[in-house]
Amino acid sequence: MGNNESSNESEEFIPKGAIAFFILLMILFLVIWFAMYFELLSRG
Amino acid sequence: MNTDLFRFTKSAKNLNAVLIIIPMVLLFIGVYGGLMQTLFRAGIIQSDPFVGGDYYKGLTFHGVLNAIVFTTFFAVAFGNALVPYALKKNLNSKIAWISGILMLVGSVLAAVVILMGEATVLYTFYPPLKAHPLFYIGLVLLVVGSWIAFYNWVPMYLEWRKENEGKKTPLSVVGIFTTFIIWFIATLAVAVEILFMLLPWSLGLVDEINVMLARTLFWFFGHPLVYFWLLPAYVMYYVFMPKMAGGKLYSDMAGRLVFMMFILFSIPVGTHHQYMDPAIGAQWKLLHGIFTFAVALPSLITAFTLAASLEHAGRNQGGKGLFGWMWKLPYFKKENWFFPYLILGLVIFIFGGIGGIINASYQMNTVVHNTAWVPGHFHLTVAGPVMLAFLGGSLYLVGQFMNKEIRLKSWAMISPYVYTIGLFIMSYGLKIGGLKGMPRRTNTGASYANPDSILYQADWMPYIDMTVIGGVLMFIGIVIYITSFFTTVFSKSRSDDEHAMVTFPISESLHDEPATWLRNFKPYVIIAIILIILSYTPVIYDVIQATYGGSVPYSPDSPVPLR
Repeated sequence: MGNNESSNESEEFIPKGAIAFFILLMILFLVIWFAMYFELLSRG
Repeated sequence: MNTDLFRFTKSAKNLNAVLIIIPMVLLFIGVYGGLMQTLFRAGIIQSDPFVGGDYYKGLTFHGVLNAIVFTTFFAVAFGNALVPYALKKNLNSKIAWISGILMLVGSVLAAVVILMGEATVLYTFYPPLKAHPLFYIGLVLLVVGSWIAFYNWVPMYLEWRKENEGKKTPLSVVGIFTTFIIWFIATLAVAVEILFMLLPWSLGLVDEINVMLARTLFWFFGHPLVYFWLLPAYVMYYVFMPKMAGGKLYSDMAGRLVFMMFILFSIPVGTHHQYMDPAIGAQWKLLHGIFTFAVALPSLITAFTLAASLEHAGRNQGGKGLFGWMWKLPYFKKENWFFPYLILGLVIFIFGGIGGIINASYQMNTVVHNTAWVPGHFHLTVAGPVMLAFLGGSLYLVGQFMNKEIRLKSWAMISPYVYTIGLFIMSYGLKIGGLKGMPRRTNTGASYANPDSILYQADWMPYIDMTVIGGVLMFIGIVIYITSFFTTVFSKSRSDDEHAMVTFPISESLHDEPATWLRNFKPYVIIAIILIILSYTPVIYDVIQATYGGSVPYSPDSPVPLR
């Protein structure tokens, strides 16, 4: 019974918020990384 | 029987309390040194008002006491606590005490020699900076003591495996063993550097030293050291935090995969600290750079898994919408004072992590190399997630092992917020100042921040001022924490039987995958050794083959070489 509840819980839960958070995190990383890359290029 | 509780022997409890309390005193001396660094660099002081000595002496005890001594003690105490707890086996107290005493003697030796001004070599102790022999002997004792602590856990683990065939090793034990496998391999190189190069040179037995080889051996150790710091924090993130937040760990397999990936990629990366060094071929530096990108992967997996675990917790408490769960987490509950130490560390690590990727991006390293950007970056890692997790962990451990109720919980809860605000301000000042050319490891107060100097840089001053403001806030955060810590230590013990037992907030897993391919350390250690041999053999060969002149003479009062 307990196992069934646990298995239902794990099947029902889809971490949509965490997926969205992770996508935003990757975008933030790219923005910061490219900001530094353009700083490098600007120095010739 | 309640499996959440475990009875440690009195001797083991006393040892773990000592391993937390004494380093806490040393940590506070180091933190004081950190505050003085910001004042030196701003030109507010020219000599330490309490300890005496110059900027470089302060920089040395700040780095050694905070980044090497405190972290090593915490990792050992954490392992001494979590391995017996998770395996439900008693620690061999005699061996554990031998390890602890060696570490204490070594640390005190190193600290005394530094404070006497006989080892102003910074925490990297690069030659040609030379320390008193007792500094090197102290470091050796600290490392050997930590090895003995690790060996003490191995028989317990092997016995547990024999008794529990087919069962998964508890995730906390996997994390602790990963930490110390990396530590053991990495410290072999620094042991060679100290025992066969630095110590004989310091004792006057040899006249010359191969500076490049010493630097290479140091960084063989120095970058994996970052993971030795970080992994106990990861153990807390994976094992404690989901439960503290009111949820479950999203995937047990993700945690195990992350730890095994750290074994594979933590070590063949050190040369990314030597991109600007001569002697090493560019292709080998690039190879280490690629491995450094590989070692970022487990941290990205961690970011997703922990976000999913926290989302599970937040939704359990009624969080709706895409991000509504974030507002349901226990950020300001004083009974859950430990949670802010972990969540704030993760927030800081978002910026520490991308900074690390930038540093490792070969050509991009030329923009930041040897500038204040670098301490700005590593304060967002070792002084961010690591420091906060270790502070929270220390307070929790001292409460458990001394049977104390945590005192001044509101203070304990608010401290990481004050500290984090200060850290962001200080790191921003260092990073942007660094991009403008402000150097690291330089007493700017005597030169670039001194209006009477011809080197004076007025446009750096706002960033230097930010480091002072941030540094003061960080110091206040630590004082708030230390007050709660020592009020707890000196409070009355709880005497009932339940509180004589030790407990940890171990999270259940939402997805408890079998993951049979992640159950044995051996294949991962073997592959790691192969990667180390492939990546380091050509580097060491290059370094030994190279010839170069001696270093340029310098004075501590000026960043400009004397000729």
